[in-house]
Amino acid sequence: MAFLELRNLSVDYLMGAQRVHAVDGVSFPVEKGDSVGIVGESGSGKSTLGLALLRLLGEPTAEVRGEALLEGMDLLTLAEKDLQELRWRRMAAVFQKSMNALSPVHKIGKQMADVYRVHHPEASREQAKQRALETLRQVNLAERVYTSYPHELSGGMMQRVSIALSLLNHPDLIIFDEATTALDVVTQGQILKEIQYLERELGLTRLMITHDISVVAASCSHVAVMYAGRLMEYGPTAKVLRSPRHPYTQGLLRAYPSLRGEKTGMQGIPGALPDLKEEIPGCVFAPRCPWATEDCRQRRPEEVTIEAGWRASCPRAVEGREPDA
Amino acid sequence: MPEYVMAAENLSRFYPQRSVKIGDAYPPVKAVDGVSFALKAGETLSIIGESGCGKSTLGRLLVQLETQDAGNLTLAGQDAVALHRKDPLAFKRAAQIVFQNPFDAFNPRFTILKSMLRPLKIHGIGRNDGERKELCRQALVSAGLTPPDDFLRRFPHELSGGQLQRISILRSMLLEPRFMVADEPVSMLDVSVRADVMNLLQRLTSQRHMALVFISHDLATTRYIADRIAVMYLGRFVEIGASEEVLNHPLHPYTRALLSACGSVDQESFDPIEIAGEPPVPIGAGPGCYFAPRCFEAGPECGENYPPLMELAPGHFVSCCHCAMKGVETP
Repeated sequence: MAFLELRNLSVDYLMGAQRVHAVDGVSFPVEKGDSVGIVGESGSGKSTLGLALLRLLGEPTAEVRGEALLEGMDLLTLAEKDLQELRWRRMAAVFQKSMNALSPVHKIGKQMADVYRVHHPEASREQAKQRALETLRQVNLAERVYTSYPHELSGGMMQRVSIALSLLNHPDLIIFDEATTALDVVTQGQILKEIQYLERELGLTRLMITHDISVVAASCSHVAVMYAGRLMEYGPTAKVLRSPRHPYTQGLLRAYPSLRGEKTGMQGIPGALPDLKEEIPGCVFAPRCPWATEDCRQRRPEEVTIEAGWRASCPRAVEGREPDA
Repeated sequence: MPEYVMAAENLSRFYPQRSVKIGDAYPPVKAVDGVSFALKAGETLSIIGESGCGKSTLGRLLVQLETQDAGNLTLAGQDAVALHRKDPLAFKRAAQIVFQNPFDAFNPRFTILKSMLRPLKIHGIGRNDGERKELCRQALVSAGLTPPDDFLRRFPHELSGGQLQRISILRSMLLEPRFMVADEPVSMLDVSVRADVMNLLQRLTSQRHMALVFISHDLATTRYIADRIAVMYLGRFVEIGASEEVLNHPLHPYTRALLSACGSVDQESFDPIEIAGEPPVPIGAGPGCYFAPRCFEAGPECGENYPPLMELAPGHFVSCCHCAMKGVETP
């Protein structure tokens, strides 16, 4: 059993009589210590997936089905009381605008100590302070941040504070939802490097939800490519990005300009995202896929295993086949 | 002397800060602080830098949405400020700008047709609406937006960001400008539709022999479209040169750090160069090199005078005293 295992996870948003199939039957395992990049364009369901794992979606606006097993416990059916034990202590999240969640009228240190003491009621003030300072050091922030107000910090520093907050109670699973997107390139690069160092030190497992493939290339061991709510391809980052098997992954990478190596043309993927309110019997990518057959439009493609831990939901992705140029 | 479409000389834009007490003078925000470059027809210059480096202000100066506080700007050899004052329409027809968010660039109550006809009417292009509409149709077809009438009767919210951005570019191109600024035109679009916008921009630039300034924070996109790249830091160019030259042999420490911090799809390892601190604000920087307080190679000499841009390789200018002393190592 993997550390975190998604089984047939689906999320529908309910809009009156209509259902928007935001996430549709996503399954993949995450081993302890893995860093999984979940990439997709807008509307691919990547953020919904993260919110569902955190149990932030529910009646009456959303319906979550399937299983998400964290060491055998199903996150989706866990009682609210047990969930509280889990949040911050076992799993923590950092969002794109996490810094907006900081109170503007309290010092960073007080906010951090509060979070710590909620989960460690026995801890003294001094212990809470020491723990807060320790995590601030871990994300390369100076001690003075402890006595600063949020407005005294830059965006990059506040995002670092958010990451420090997420580490405060020693979680083993961290979900980053576009956590570095709003930052400048240099700051983003440094934070990504720090995160990877912390992961090795603390044995963290990370889900990285992002639209930016270069972030995944720089910081994740595995990649899950999503399109229109479904998982297209899952596998080790280096292999998937070097020789993608699913036509969507191939198209996405062709559309992505490369910074190094040979300069190649940029090629878009013609067409647009399907209407997620409709039931799509076949492959969701078929209308935009150059190889789509009648069968693709009629029947949902089965997952093909390319090698252990690398699979794609397309019959073309069979083992040993070279990616199409 | 070659004919430059657009030439900037020591272009500067300072925003005064209002002081609370009378008589207290706060130093101004130096958004653009002495930028010089010249562009030939058909050439694309890309300006890259982080937020707050002044790249968008520079773009606005180039099309005179703002007026510079110092320096000269010439459009086809004529002074831009004078030209803009004397005949604003003629200036605007020659120098166009495309913005980041296409949904802000269209009136949501107008159909695409109405939005596209307006500039044509204002600039007196085409004899009647029928003729003008035909021009719009041709433009859409040339960009693969077919059937054109389908697009013309729609409203902006009925189109995707990528389609609307292409129409925004086409609308500007109908005026046949000699010079265009594209300010982050693809940064809010999805990856799979970016390519269409980039390809359109590139094709039109070469077909119409137009000069383009492409403002971006994304180095990989820049590489695809630009002939030359200028790296901006705190209102100044710190490095400018042919794009492959700058990306493959970056010289300025800031450019090197920036490049190392960019992940690339095909990279093997990721090891960004650490630079100290956060991007500072462009107030009261200097007198030495603006980057020196964060630079990993800075020495005492960096704090004395701002290093001028020096040509260290053919066409490759760098403003760094260390690079100048070391010279260029040929790889």
